[in-house]
Amino acid sequence: MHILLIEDNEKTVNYLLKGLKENYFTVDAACDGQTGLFMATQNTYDLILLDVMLPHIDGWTIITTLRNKNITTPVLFLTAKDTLDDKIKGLKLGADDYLIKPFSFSELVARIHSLLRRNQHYTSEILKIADLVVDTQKHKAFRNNTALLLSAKEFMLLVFFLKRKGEVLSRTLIAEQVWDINFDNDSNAIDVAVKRLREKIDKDFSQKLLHTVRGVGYVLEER
Amino acid sequence: MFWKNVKRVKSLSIVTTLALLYSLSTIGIFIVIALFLYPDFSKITQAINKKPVSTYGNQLDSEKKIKICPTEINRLCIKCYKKTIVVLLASSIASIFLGYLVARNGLARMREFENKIENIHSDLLHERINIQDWPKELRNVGEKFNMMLDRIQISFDQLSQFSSDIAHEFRTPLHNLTGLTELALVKEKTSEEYKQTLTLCLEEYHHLSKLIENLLFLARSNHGQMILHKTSFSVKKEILKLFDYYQALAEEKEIELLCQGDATLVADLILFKRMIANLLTNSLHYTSSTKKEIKIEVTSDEHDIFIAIHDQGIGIDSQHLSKLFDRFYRVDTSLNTGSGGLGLGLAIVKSIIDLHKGKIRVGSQINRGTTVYITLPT
Repeated sequence: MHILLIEDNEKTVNYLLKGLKENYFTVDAACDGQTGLFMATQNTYDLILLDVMLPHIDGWTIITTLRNKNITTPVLFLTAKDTLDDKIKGLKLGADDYLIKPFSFSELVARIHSLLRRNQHYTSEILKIADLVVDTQKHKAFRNNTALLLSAKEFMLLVFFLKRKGEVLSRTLIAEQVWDINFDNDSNAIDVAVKRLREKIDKDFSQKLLHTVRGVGYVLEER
Repeated sequence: MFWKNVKRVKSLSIVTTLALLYSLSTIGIFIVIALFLYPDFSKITQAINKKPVSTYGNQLDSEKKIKICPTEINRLCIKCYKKTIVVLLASSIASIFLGYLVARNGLARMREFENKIENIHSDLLHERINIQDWPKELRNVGEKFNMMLDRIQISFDQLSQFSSDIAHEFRTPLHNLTGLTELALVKEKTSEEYKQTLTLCLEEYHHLSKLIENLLFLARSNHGQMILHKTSFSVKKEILKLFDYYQALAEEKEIELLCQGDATLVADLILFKRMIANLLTNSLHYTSSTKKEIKIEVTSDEHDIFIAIHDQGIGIDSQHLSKLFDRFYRVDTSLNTGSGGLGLGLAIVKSIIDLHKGKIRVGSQINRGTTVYITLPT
């Protein structure tokens, strides 16, 4: 996966480069708008990470120019501008997603994956990890061929984890994607929901699948 | 006695004082003129009156007087004219001078006012202008000015309270971060220990960025920088969606979530959900387990929608109720870390209510529960 990072803060660039390479992405970085726009038009990328405030040419202009040239590479805005109107402006200009600084790195990776996945289609309705099998069409889940009794939301949560198996998912992302909670909330509702799901899918089995990553979130994977 | 009257005159409107002054001086002028001219007038009238008398009475005596009469009357008349002109001139000069003094005296308050304005600084915001003996025209301005100072002082106090709160709230996580990092660097540790340190640091970073996000929200909403994206929606439907989010937590605590009634509301949906979510978080947090319920009742009339959130939690002592919506106000100060919150949840609720021009009120009984009453215009 080839990603273009357009961002002027050196420290941010360094840690993003490091982190993204660790996550098996190939990353090119541009430190100002002009270079960034040039690189975006010259090469083909799978995704562009774009800062709004840039020297020479700002992020709004870059995305407008790209879309005018019919370059449809997915764009994810990274910015400190956090008002809803900035968000709406970005999305209207053709951005695909929006992350506000400071964001957690795992959140960024999760969003990159979901953007890259957008173009792929799930041919199968059967999702699997180890001996856990979920049939999204029939709304049924099995562990080692025993049916699991899940509530509707628990099922949605499990499907969300399965579609992103191996990715660390933050509480914010889970709340947003599963419950449509788009605002900051102090409650530990997500923790309790995950804990209850874990009791149903992991408790009676020796191989644990749903793990806590302290300080970051949760991940469904074979260990 | 005398001073009291002077004060009353001073506090009269300048226009009234001037009108009073001019009418009094007009009367004065008439009186002066009358006094001055009285001797001459009486002579003239005497002279005129004696003329017909003389025709019937003593011929010789009257003839003698008639001889003097025409010139004497003329002379007296001219004298009268002169006197009138002099008196009028003198009195008009005097009244102009008095008018000038009255106006000057009245407007002297203006200069006092100027000085006051010039000397206003952030550390003298508690000072007010004494407007008691001011003329009426200026008293209104002074009153409004004092009211403005009141408002400025309130927001200034809030702001300085706020910044000191911020400094305080930021200090704790920063202190934790410094300590944790120092500790990790002082001595070699196992990678597991480093990992633990980093995890703890990460939690503090999350705490800080949440704090900033919430404070920015409050700052924006209080300074009118928040744009509301209003839509029309069913209150019950949105509340049930939120219940869905809290379901696991509520079941875990054996608390039943109930919603009665419905209404259609036009408001910013995300803000509405955030407000209800904050209140539900509190209700759930302060309700201990064992078969309790949290009930939301929605009613409406033609103007307003009423939402009441009842819980059967630990309740709030009445002394805290008025400060409940203040930033960083915590009922139990020792609970600082236990609740996990930032102490901003209810301040955010209040600001969302204000943005929608609604009202909020809290009623509570210790150990019986708390009810939050919300009124929102449709």
